[in-house]
Order: sequence, then C-alpha cells, then structure tokens
Amino acid sequence: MPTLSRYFVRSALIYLGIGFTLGGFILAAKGGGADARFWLWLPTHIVFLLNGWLIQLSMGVAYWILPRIHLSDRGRQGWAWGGFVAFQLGLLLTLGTILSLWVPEVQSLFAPGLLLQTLGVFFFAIHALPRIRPALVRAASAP
Amino acid sequence: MPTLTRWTIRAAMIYLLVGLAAGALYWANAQWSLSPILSSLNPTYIHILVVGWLTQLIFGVIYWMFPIIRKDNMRGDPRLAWAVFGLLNAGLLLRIGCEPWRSVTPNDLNGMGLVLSALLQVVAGYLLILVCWPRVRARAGTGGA
Repeated sequence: MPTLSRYFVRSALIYLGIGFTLGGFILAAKGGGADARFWLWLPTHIVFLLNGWLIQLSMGVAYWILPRIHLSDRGRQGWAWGGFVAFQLGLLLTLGTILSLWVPEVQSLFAPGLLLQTLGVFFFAIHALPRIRPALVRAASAP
Repeated sequence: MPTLTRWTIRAAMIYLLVGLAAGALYWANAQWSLSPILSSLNPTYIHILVVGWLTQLIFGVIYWMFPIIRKDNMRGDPRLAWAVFGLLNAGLLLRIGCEPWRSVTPNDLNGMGLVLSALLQVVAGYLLILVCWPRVRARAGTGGA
C-alpha cells in the first residue's frame, strides 16, 4: 500500500473514531443521558462520517488499486497529494467547530471547511481520472 | 475469505435490505401519510445504512483484504475483531428497537437503551480502529514463527 494511501486510510480511521464519539454523545442526549447541547455537533458528526470516514477511505483505496499509468507510476501524484492536504485542512476546520459548544463563533469555520474538502476531492479527481481505464496486463511470454 | 468477513458481509446485506425498506417506508409515509409510527424511522434508517451496511461491509473487507501483519499472525487477535462485530450489531439493534419507540412513547427504558446503544457502538468503533490500524501498512509482513 503506497504512502499516500496509508495516510488517507489512517486519517479515515481517526475520523471514524471522532465521528462515532460525537454520534455517541448525540444519541446519549437523545436518550436523556447527556446534555441536549450535544445536538449542536450533528452537522460535524455527519461530515466526519461521510467525508472524513467514507470519502477519505475511498480515495485512499482508489489511489492504491486503480490501474497505474505505467509500471509503478501512478501519474499526477502532486494532484493526489494536493487533494490530501486540502482535504485535511478542510477536516481540521470542521474539527474546530466542535468547540462551538463553548465558543459559538467557531461555527463559521464549517462552510470553509466543506469548501476545502470539496477542493480536495477535485484535486484528487484530476489525479485519478487518467487511471480509470482498463488495466494493461502484459503476458509473461510476450516478447 | 475469513469466517468473520462472511458474517459481516451477510449482516451488512441484511442491513442494506432493512435500511432501504425502512427508508422507503419513511418517505412513502412523508408523501401519503400512511401511519404516524413510520415517521419515527428517521434517522434510524440512515444509521442502518451507514453503520450496518457501509461501515460493517468495509470492516469485513479490510479484515479480509488489507496487507497481513505477519505470516504467523495474519490479522491480529481475532477476539477483538469478533468483539467489533458483536458490539456494533448489539448497539445498532438496540438503537433500531429503542429510537423509533422513544419518538412515539418516551420513557426511561428506551432512554437507557439509547444510552447503552451509544456506548456499545462507540466502543465498537474504537476496537475497529484497533483491529484495522496495524493492517494499514506498505506490504504484507513476512516474518515467520
């Protein structure tokens, strides 16, 4: 598994953990076992599980297993790394919105965070598009 | 395919069917006002799909296909992986029972059920990370016994 895939998948696992934790507080609040203010975390919970977990995992695995351009060359790697960095920055801004429970102003980080995540997916798509093609398998006996 | 993966994929397929049916009933009720009880299926059906279907399916496939740790310890401690399966499904089933019930008749029992469901699913999530983390590696480990 290449380095970038490992970064994507590890980050996805971390956001799965955070997303589940926020969801746990929200569900406990629904059951009357926690402060009702935890409902403020609902949008962050959704973004962490859809974007932080599912989309990041998809990008990590796609970078790993999509057909390569030539031998070990995955092509346009700068775009893939750029996508990773933009996506991480976006998720960090979203992470900051957890503090909105105590500092309501940080909720304004939510939309910029989503925009950066969208930009990250856009960069990754520029990397991945040429790799969405039939795999070229060279027969061992070919001259 | 390891036994655990077969169980997770089978369970995931069942959740997919149940989640789609519950979602269809919820939206049919929103359109045609069939029965008030059906309006309580949201957000339960979303969690059936995202936790029961997607997350569980991904866990099963990661457990099966990601690079092994070592030849003599391919997938880590299987008890932890089975604990993920047990806790995740116990927590989700508890939610499926208690969440619609609470939206119709809130009481202490379904409230405690939701709190317990939250706890079970969060612990399952942490264990899932613990099981999968060592499998995120450059290549399959080759160390022998």
